[in-house]
Amino acid sequence: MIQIDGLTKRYGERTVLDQVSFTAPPGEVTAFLGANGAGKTTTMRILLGLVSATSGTATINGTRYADLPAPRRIVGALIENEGSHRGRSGRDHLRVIARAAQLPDQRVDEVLDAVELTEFAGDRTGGYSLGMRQRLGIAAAILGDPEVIVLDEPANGLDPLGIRWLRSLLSGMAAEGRTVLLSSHLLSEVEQLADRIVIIDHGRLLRDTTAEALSGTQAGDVAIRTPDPAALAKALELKGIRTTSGPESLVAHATTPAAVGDIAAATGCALHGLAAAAPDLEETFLSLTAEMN
Amino acid sequence: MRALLSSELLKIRTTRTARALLLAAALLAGAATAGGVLSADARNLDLGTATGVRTVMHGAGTGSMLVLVLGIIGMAGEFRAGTIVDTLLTTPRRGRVMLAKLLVYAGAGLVFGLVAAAASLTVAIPLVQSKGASVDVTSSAVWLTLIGTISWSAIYGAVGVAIGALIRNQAAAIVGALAWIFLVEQLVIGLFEDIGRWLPANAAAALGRAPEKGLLGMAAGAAVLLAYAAGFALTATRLTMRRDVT
Repeated sequence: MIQIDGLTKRYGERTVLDQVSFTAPPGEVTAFLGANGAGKTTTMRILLGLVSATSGTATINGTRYADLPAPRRIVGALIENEGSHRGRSGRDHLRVIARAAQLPDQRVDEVLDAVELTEFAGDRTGGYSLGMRQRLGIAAAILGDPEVIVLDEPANGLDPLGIRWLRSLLSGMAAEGRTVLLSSHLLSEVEQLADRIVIIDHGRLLRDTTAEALSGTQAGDVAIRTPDPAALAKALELKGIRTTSGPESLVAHATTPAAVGDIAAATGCALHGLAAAAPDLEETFLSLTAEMN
Repeated sequence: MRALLSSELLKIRTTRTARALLLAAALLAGAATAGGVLSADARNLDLGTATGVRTVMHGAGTGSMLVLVLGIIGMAGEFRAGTIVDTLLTTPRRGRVMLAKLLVYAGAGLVFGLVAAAASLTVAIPLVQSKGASVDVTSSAVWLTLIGTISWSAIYGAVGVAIGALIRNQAAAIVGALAWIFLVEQLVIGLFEDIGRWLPANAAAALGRAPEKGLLGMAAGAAVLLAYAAGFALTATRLTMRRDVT
């Protein structure tokens, strides 16, 4: 369980985070969304004790990161600008961490296997591709078999196959009851994975909700099949709903199937089909962040 | 703490940096010692006297510069590579991280100092003999000088870590530290001996029993250098505990 409560960070006059509060519960994947520079990384850095907050708190199971007795066994994290020494092998990079965290070297081999890097474990990380480095970072994050996972833009540098692998890894971890918080600037990356969605923009919280609620409340396109599109279009326009018509079909914009159905019944138009176009979370996300600007 | 020390040692052992610097330090110490012997005639230096022996054996301290660089890389290098994040995620109590690094790099400095001393002796013994004098390992001019250069090296390891924590840009820290030692302190002691002798690198040279005039005595040099090292280490630790890691 991750709790962010009234988190504020100021650098001089500049406010990077302004009273941000949200919770990432165990057993769920919480997506932390926002444009680049929205304050996602700063929030995560404060959560991990790397950056101090001006005010507010960020805790893991009720404890500040810095006060966790064996943090690697409780929290696994991957954060922007984290890296490995170019001249050190991937395995040695993990052994260094395991040594300090008092984890057995055998665990290093296990996570190398889990991220499919065993074959390259002895190579210097300077020769790794972006995707391999990202996998190494994820290996470090899961090294201590943590119950809380915090990943900052984990899909960066991963190819489509890698992203699929990451998705199954994370949803598996959530299914095991772990807390998963991952940030992204692309909603499409986390759409299929996230149970909860937290959106911030310019350091302020915009939404803290479930993925279902976010798509359900949003008006969108409704595709209509009707023998008399002209009449229905007219009725809809009268109620202020924009439409685009085609032969025997009609698309009503920025509305819900319920609203269209009610109007059709009232006008006496026959309906042969009514479907909400798949809600586009990306559009929702962009329109939410656009409202702020 | 033991786990932390072991992790820091593993960091040193798993890159080529330390090995390359150790080799360079041994070569540098040997070359400085050889230079001392070979230029003795030109400087009217009698290799048979204590001053002559000190001049030659003091060359063993030259490698300390590289220990300083090693310490800086050990600390500032973590910011450069981004491994500092992993280090602090594993051990969020930054004071402990600093203490472990200071101890490990002082230990590395000790090893560098011993290797440099061995290299200097290996070069000095036959070369001095070829000049008709001899290096008597049991004379205080030899062993006291070598104890001085080895301690110098150990202290510089810790000072390097402190500098790397104060100046987190690795290149700036290395260039700044070397410029300070070779330009600023040399200039100050040349112009104002009474001030210059109290500066850290000149105190270090005194600890290494450098025969130059104007320097403090060995014990005073040791005390002054240790005071600087403690001051740097404390300031660096306090700053590291407070600073944001971005």
